[in-house]
Amino acid sequence: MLSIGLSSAISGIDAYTVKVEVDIRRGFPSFATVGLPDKAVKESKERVIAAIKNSGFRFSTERVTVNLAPADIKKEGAAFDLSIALGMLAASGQLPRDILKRYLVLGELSLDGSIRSVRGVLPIAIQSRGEEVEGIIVPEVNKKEAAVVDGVNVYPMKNLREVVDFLSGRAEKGPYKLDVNNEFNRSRKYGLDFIDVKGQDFAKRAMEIAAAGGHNILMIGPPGSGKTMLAKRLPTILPEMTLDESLETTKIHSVIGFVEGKPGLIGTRPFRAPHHTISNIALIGGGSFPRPGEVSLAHNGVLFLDELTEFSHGALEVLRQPLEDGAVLIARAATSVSYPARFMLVAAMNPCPCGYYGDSRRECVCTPFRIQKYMSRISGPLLDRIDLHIEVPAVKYHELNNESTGENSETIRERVQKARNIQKSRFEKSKSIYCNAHMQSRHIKKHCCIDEAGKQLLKNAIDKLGLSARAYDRVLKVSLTIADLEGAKSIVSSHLAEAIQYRSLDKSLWL
Amino acid sequence: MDEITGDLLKLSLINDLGAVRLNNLLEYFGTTRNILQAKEDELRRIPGIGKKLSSQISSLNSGINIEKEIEKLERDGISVVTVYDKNYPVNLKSIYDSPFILYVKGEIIPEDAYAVSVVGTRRATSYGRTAAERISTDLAKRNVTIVSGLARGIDTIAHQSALACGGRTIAVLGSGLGVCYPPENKRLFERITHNGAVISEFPLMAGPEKRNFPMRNRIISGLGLGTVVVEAPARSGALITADAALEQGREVFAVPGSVFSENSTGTHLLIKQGAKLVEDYKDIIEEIDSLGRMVLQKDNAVHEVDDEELTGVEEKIYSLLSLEPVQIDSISRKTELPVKDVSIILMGLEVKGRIREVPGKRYIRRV
Ligand SMILES: Nc1ncnc2c1ncn2[C@@H]1O[C@H](COP(=O)(O)OP(=O)(O)OP(=O)(O)O)[C@@H](O)[C@H]1O
Ligand SMILES: [Mg+2]
Ligand SMILES: [Zn+2]
Repeated sequence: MLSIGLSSAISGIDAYTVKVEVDIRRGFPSFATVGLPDKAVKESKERVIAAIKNSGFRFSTERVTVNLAPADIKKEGAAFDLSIALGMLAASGQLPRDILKRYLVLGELSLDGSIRSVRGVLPIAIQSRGEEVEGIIVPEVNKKEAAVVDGVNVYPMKNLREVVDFLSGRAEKGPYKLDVNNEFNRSRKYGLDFIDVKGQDFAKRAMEIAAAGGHNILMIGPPGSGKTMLAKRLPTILPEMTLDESLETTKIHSVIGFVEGKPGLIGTRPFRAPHHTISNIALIGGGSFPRPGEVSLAHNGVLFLDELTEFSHGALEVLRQPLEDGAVLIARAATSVSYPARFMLVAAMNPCPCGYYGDSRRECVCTPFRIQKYMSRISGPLLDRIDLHIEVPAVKYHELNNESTGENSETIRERVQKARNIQKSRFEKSKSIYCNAHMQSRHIKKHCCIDEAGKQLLKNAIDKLGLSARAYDRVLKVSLTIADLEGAKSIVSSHLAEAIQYRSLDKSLWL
Repeated sequence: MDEITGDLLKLSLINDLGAVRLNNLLEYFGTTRNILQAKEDELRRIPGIGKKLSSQISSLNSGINIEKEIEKLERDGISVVTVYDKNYPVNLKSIYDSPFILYVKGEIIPEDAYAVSVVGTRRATSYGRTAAERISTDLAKRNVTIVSGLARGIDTIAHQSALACGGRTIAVLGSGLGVCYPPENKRLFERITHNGAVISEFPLMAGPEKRNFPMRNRIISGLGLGTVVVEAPARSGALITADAALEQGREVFAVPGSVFSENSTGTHLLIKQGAKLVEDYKDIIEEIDSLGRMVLQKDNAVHEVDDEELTGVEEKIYSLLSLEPVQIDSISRKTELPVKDVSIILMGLEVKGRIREVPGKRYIRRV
C-alpha cells in the first residue's frame, strides 16, 4: 500500500516541500530509498526500523520503497526520518493514511524512537504557510524557533509514540504558543558594555564613528592593548535590531542548526570571530551541500578578524565579494543559492611581527624590512574596503586603575541611532544603501560637498603628511558620518581633520 | 665631502675590514673620528680586530692623502654615498650588514627602491637567455629597476634587456669601479651609468678577487625586493645570492628549466626549498607589488614649517609636547579636552609642520 506524507528541506536559506512516499508490498524483503538521497538519508532505514520496533509498533519484513520528491534535488540529513516512519506505519495500516497530508513533519529519530533536533526549522516554518496544512510537527527542542512564525500551528513532539497518538486522535494536544514580542525583547540584552573599557578615548570615538556610518575598521596595536575587548563591544553600540533583521539573522543560524536552549529569536547583533586557520568555505559558505559561512552568520552584525595578517591570502580574497555585495552567491551545476552577508568588518593586528612597534612599554626587535613585509601582507584591495584604521596603544597597567571609564554602551548607541536616522532619510531613494559606508563614488560626489577650506586641508594632508590619494574618498565618507553624529548640515574642515586621524596606514608611519 | 664620508672612505681602503667589523668598531668608539684616532691596543679589544687590522687602521691617519683620492674620484665622475646619507638605497639600509660606503657611477634615484635582482649562470643556454630577457624586459617596462652583477651570461642579458626597453638598471661589481670585469662589458658599463648606476663597495682600483663576490652578492640581493634566479648549476654564485636574499627576508624566485640541463640543478633545488616558481613577470609583481608601493611612498611627504601663528588651544597642546612621544589620550586627559577636539587640533599642528605623529598614536615636536 502507498502512503504520502509531507516534509521539508532547505536550499540556501529557504525551504521547499518534500513529498515522502512510502510503498509497502509483498515480496522479497528489501528497503530502498530513491529520489537523490545522500548517505544520511539512506541510513535512515536503520534508524526508522529500530525506532518503529522499539516504540512497540509492528515491522513486518516486506518490500519497502521510499521516494522523496521532487527527485531532482539532492536530499541530505536525517530530518526525513520521522516522516518516513509515519509513512511506513500508515502504509502498513497502523495509522490512518489520509491524516499524513495534513501536517508537515520534521525530525530525526533515535533508535529508541525519541525525536532529535533538525536544522532549518525557522525557514521551514515560514515556508509551511504556503502549504495547505493544519500545522507542523517539529522536535521538541526546535519548538521556539518554529513558533516565532506568525500563523503557523506548531506541534512539538518528543518521540514517535507521541506523534502517532496525536495523529490517530488518541491524545489531544493544542499547538505550542510563543509570545514573539516577549521572546524578542528577552533576547536583546548584551552581556558586555563599553563602560568596561578604561581610557582608550580615541579608539572608542573611532568605534562610535564606525558604528554610526557602518564603516569597516582596522585596529592596530600591541598584545593586550584591548583590541579584542573593543571589538566584542561594537555590537552593543550598533542600532538595536529590528524584528525583521532579527528574523533574517535567525533564519541563517537556523539553517546551521543553532537552537538548543537558546531563545527562539536572535535579538542581539551577532559577533563572529573565526580563527585565522578557517577554510575559505567555512568563512564564506559553500560545500557540496551548501551551508552559510561565517560572513552570513555575521549578517546584521559584526565579523571580527583577529590577527588579520595571519589569515591566508585566499581567505582575504574571498571576503571581497560579500563585502561588496552584502551577499554570497554559491553557484552549483543544478541550482545556485544566495546567502545574505551584510556585516561590519572589524579587524585587528599587531603593528609588527614582534608586536611592540611603537609601544612605550617594550622595545620592538624587528628590522624595518621585516615590518614593511609584515604590513604588506594585508592586501590593497581589502584595505580599500576599510574606511577607518586606528592604532590602539596599550594603557600601562598601573594606569588602568586610574583611567576613567567613560560612557556606557546605551548612551553611545543613542547617538549612533540618531546619525543612522539621518542617513536613512538621506538614502531613502537609493536602493541597497543604508548607511554612509555603502556610498559609491557618485553618491560621494552628491552628498559629500566640501568648501575651499576643506579642499585646502585635504591637499595639505596629502602634500605634507603623505596621506595617500587613495584615501580621499574614504576620508570624505567618514567625514560625513562625523557630521551626522554632530547633526551638522554639511561637512566642514574640522570633520575632515578628524577623519584624517583615522587613516593611520595612509600616513606611512610604518617606515 | 663631509668628515664622516672622508673617514669612511679611508676605512674602506682596508681590504679585510668588512661591514660587520666596522659596525663593531663604531659601536665601541662611537664615531669614525674616534676609530681613526684610537691606539692600536685599544683597537684590538674589538672582536675580529687583530694585529694586522689594528696597525692598518692606525696607519690610515698618516700614510694616506685622502684629498688626492677624492680628486681622482671626482675626475672619474664617481660619487660616494654613505649609509648616513639621505640618498643611500633604502632597501640596502635594512639588511644587517649594510655596506657603510658605496662608490657610485651614475645615479641612484628613490624610485630604484622598486627593484628586482636578476641573477644566473655565466654559461647560459639559449633558453636561459630568452627567459632572462623576457622577464627583465617585462619588469623594466613596468618601472621595476633591474639589479644584477655585470657578469657574463644571465647578468649581462638582464642589464641589456632593461636598457633596451628604456628601463633602469643597477650593476653591482665585485671589483672597484676603476676596473671593468669582464672587460668585454666596458660599453655596457658606460651605458648603465646613464640609465641607472654601476656601484661597488670596494676601493676604486680593487681587482675582481674571488672573495669579493659573496660580499658583492649580498648587495645585489639587498637592493632588490626579490631575487630571480634564471639558470644556476649547483654551488654557483647565483645560489649564494639567493641565500643572501633569504637571509635578508627578501623573496626568492626561480625560473624552472629542463630536467636534463645542469643549469637547472640549482634553480630546481631552490624551488624544492620553497622559492616561488616563476613563469613570467606577473608571478613576481604579484609578490612585490604592495611592498614596493610602500617603499616608494615613504619619502613623498615634504616637510616645511609654517610660520603661521598658533591659536590659543594649539599653543596649549603644543606646549605639552616635546621630543618624548605623548599619546593622544593622555593629551586629551591633561588638557581636559574631548579627544575628538584634540584630534582636530593635532591635525592642524601637523599640517602647520610643528609636530609629527609617530607609531602608537603618539606625537612629538618637530625640530
Ligand atoms: N582599556 C582597558 N580597560 C580595561 N581592561 C583592559 C583594557 N585594555 C586591556 N584590558 C585587559 O587586558 C586584557 C587583554 O585585552 P585584549 O585581549 O582585548 O587585548 P588584545 O589587544 O586583543 O591583545 P592581543 O593582541 O594579545 O590579542 C583584557 O581582557 C582586559 O582585561
Ligand atoms: Mg586579541
Ligand atoms: Zn616588532
